[in-house]
Amino acid sequence: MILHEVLTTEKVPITYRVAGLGARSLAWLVDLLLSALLGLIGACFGMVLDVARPGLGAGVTILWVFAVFLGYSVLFEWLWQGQTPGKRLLGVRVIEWRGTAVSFVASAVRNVVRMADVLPLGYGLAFVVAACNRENRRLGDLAAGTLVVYVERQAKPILALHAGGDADRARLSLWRQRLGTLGREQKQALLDLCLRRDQLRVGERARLFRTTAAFFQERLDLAPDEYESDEKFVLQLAAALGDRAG
Amino acid sequence: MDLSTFLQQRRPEWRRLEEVLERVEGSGLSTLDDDQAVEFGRLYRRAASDLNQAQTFVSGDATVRFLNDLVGRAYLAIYGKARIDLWALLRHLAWGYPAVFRRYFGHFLLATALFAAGTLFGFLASYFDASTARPYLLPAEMSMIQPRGEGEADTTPLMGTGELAAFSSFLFTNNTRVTLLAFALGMTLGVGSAWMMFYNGIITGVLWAVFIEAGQWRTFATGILPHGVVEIPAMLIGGAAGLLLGQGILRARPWPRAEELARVGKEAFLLVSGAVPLLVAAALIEAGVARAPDWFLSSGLKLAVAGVVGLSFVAYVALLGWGRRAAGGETP
Repeated sequence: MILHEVLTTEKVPITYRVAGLGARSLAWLVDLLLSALLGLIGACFGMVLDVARPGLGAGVTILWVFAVFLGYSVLFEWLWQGQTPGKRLLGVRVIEWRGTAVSFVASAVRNVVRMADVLPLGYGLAFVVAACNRENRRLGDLAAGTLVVYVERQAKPILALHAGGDADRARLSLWRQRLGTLGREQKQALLDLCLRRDQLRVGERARLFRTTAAFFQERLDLAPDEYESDEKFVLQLAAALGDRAG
Repeated sequence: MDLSTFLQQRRPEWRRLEEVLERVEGSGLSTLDDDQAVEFGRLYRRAASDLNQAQTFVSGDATVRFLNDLVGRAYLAIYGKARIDLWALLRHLAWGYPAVFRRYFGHFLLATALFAAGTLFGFLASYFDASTARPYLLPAEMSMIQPRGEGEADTTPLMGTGELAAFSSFLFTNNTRVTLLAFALGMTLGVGSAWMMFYNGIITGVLWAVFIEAGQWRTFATGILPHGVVEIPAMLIGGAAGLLLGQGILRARPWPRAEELARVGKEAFLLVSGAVPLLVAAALIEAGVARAPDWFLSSGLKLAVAGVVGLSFVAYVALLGWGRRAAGGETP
């Protein structure tokens, strides 16, 4: 996974995950279909108008199709903070190099330079250029100083802590007391494991929780409930630890 | 600091920031009232500071990730979105654009020189070796442009408003596409843009020779000049923007090339965007004046239109916008 680090105006470094070519191509496909649909709607309207006033409908159609061709991406990216319907569906978004939302001019530049990207055939230049730089930027992105990143909203690790926190009060206080004897690194490891458990593969997850549960059972002299899984036990420990200060 | 204490203390504010953020991402910053806006700013700064702290003192990777995503989203929502002001846009077109044009006049001259060289080459080739030059140099759809036979009267019917609308929209979209492509091809180190200028010159030169040979220079002039005096400069502006872009890639600067390219890209776009109103005017004039049958508009009148349009274009780019700083970045 390629990360793009920016420094906010508050001088705090934040990282964005650079979007892959697959997600971007799919987003483009969705947008292509949608803009073709929009063009078609305009063409139908134009045909009706053409019956009433020969020529005028054709003129309107030509202008409308051209406006969709040029304006679709620019307008959406500008209004939806770097997202078109396709990008929204695929969970990617255009941002400026410095990490801010894409401006109108930058979006216009990257979408006009698309005309060079599609050359010589089917985005050939775009693919070659995107493959040759770290952030998968096509020519339009280079000219506009933009890049496409994944929108991050899957992380809800804080809620995960409470998944298993239904231990009764007396047991909880005992646990807290024992947990207080842990060193900082051990606490950290415990919390980290719980927070990141969804990122682990099933086998590793089971193995890690088994080892961890065994370690803390011995270290804290605590026993899990009957039929309680290793993972549940460790989660309850973490929950007790998280609640300690409150 | 202890991670659990840290989480415990800061969690409510992060939750609150998430809530506000959901709303802002859904319906925009403007839906927040004053108090909420202030709160949003405060929550964002606190979260940014928490992230900073987490990166330094807490090794909890997931916490840092979570905060990173939260702050990243808030950062995008808060910074870097300028509202477009219609009045400012008009002001820019009137005064800002001529200054931008003059700033890159050198690029415009270079594009013009390439175009002129192409014209000369096309003319000479077409004049002295017509049988080879014309089929090779002219695009297939242009071979139908032929001078009228000796003594043949212009019997083209006058176009109705509907046809006029269709024809001018076709011309506008076509020319705009060519102009924007000339700009976009600047990404090929300017080679593509330069070639487009040269090639469009060739076409003009070849056709010129065709009409001269038939002794109809007047027909050629009236057919091309009324709109050509703005259409050709508009296309040259596209070429100039492309050359500027190419220069941005090639030129060494004290800062990274990617940064220079992004800066120049916006400038070049500013330059080419001014060609669009010119192309609207050119399309209307071409459909309405230049292609009007001779029995409707005399060639003298057409040439007069060409003169007036040409002079107004020169006056626009030469006289307006002095004495105030043009929009867009100055060349450092």
